[in-house]
Amino acid sequence: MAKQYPKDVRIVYKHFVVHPQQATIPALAACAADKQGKFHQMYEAIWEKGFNAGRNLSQENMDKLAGEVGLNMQKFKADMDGDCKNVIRQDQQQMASVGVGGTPAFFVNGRFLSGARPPEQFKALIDEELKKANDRVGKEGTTASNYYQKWVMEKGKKSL
Amino acid sequence: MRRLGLLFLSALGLALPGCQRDEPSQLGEKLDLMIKKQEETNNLLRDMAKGGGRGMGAATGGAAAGGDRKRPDPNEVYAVNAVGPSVGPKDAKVTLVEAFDFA
Repeated sequence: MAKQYPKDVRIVYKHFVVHPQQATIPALAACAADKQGKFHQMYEAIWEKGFNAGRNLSQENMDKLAGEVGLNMQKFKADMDGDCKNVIRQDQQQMASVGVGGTPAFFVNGRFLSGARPPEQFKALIDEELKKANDRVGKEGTTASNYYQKWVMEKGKKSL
Repeated sequence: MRRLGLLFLSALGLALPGCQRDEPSQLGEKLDLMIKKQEETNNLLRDMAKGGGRGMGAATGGAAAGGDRKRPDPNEVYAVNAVGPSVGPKDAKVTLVEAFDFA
């Protein structure tokens, strides 16, 4: 989707661990990679060389992938054992507070779309939200940069 | 032939004590390491399951009890925190937040 809308869509990733025994270690590893600016490289590596390679999501494999991605291993391990636990817990709480109970789950400018859906459904919702945004930007102090804050964070529901 | 048999038995006699001495200790070390790792993982999961009734434990429960859980209304706008790793321009007019896990 980001490729289809290179100027208009931003995708933000939030951890929501539904299967803790399997997914906690890779979530911590992705978070630790993010702290070195390499979330996407690690995210892709975990799916490609971890999940799709026999679901090898062990700490040993995460260490190996972190090395391949070029992370500072000392910092990687320290972040996995340290702040990343808080990051994941906070993401989890934020998502749960707006009703997320499984993955994948999506919010398009704050509007919920659950589960894996065909691209057309995403496109329809994105187009709808983009039209709204285009109508609002330039009015009442709304800019593209503050659009999410003004129209989603300030006006949106804080919980279910 | 008998000499060959004796030679084989002698070689076996020399090799077996070596196996008996080394393998169990190596296996023991490996088992200790595996148990330690498992305990670390269990502690980590226990830590993450704490936290005011939410967090991992609640998420697992929520998913399992999906039928009873209240779901977001697709026609409402929810103030979803959009701080986190991202792709796309910061000033994009549409922000898509994806909740994910490696499962």
